[in-house]
Amino acid sequence: MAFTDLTDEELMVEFQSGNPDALSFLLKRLLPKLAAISRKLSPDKNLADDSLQEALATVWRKAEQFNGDSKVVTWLYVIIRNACIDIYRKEEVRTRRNISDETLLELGDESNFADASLTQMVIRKAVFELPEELRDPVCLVFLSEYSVEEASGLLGIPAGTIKSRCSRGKALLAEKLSDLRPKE
Amino acid sequence: MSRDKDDYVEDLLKGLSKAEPMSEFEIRKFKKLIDRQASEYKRTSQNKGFRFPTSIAAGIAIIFGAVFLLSGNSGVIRQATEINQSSPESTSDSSNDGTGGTDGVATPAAPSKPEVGEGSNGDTGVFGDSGSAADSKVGVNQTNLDYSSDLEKIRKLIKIGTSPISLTSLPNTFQQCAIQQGVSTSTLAFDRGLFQGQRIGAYFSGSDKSDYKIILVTSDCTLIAEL
Repeated sequence: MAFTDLTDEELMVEFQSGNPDALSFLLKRLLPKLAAISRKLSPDKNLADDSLQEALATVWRKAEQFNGDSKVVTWLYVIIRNACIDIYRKEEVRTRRNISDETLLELGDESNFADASLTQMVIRKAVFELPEELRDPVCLVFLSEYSVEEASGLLGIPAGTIKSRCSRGKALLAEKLSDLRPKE
Repeated sequence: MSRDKDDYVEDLLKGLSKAEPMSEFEIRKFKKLIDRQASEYKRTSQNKGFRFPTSIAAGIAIIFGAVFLLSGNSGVIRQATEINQSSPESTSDSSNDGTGGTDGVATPAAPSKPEVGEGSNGDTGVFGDSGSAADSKVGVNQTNLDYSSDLEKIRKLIKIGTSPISLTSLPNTFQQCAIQQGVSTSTLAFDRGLFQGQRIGAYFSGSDKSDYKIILVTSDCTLIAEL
């Protein structure tokens, strides 16, 4: 049977039956979608590509253990999201060090750029620290600007649940980011 | 979704910088990466099939160790001396065994040798000693030769192993780079040398000595050439 006729889940079963080409085909077929996720979750293309590369390596390492509890695309999303967060955290540590030690001191109050970078880091950090069940819907709908329906398909949960989790996530973020609330 | 007092959060999130979408060219690059990862996966799966289970290997090592201790070393030493004093054929056999002891993997640079900047070492020193089995830098070389002009000589010097070398045996700067270049699990040997006078690292990546390519990168992991 041609791989093109198989669903993602069937390709995974084919891979687990001893055909690595099935996973290769699956990853290539989903690549635009996976690339879009990493690009939308990452602040720049270099970090996005590092994350995707790391995620693909993880997929090859863990695909034998995929147990079909979720859709394949959901499983892949979680791997990419984790890779993006890991790489972003490493970059954040490095950037914070650079900004606080050098740029802020040099530029002082004129440093809109440094302020903006720090603000962006604070916001991303707050999102990444949300409980997992809220983080994914918030990341997809608000950060990556997927529609509720698309997020529902990706995460394998009903659209109504996505909406309610987004609302709860938004409320939690509003508490955490209250300093950034616009002055009235 | 309804707008409420917390809606500034949505605006904050939408205002975050994001990477631009991936181009067709970049997609193709990642497809090649997937192909490489698939090849690596196939090769490591095959290796797994033929690998001696660790417990059995450890058991055999213990038995040999016990036999060695019980019989005393003198017999072994005497036997070694006899081999050294025998015909030239048996001497050459013994030197072949020395290479075979590391599965044909190139041996490390001598510890006293500087990592970089000491000029070409020719055929001596770098590959001369078979080193101990416990050495973690098996397969890591430093020919300091120029890949743009001495490629054939380098190919003869570098011994390609039958299994990938450990990532941690590479110099620090080239460990992350191996991941970036997609050769972290397929590097059979590594060498530090030159390319048109510029210092480079060379990953010998592939499945065996008849099927490998040489990937040259700078110390900041910029790809220079694939040979």
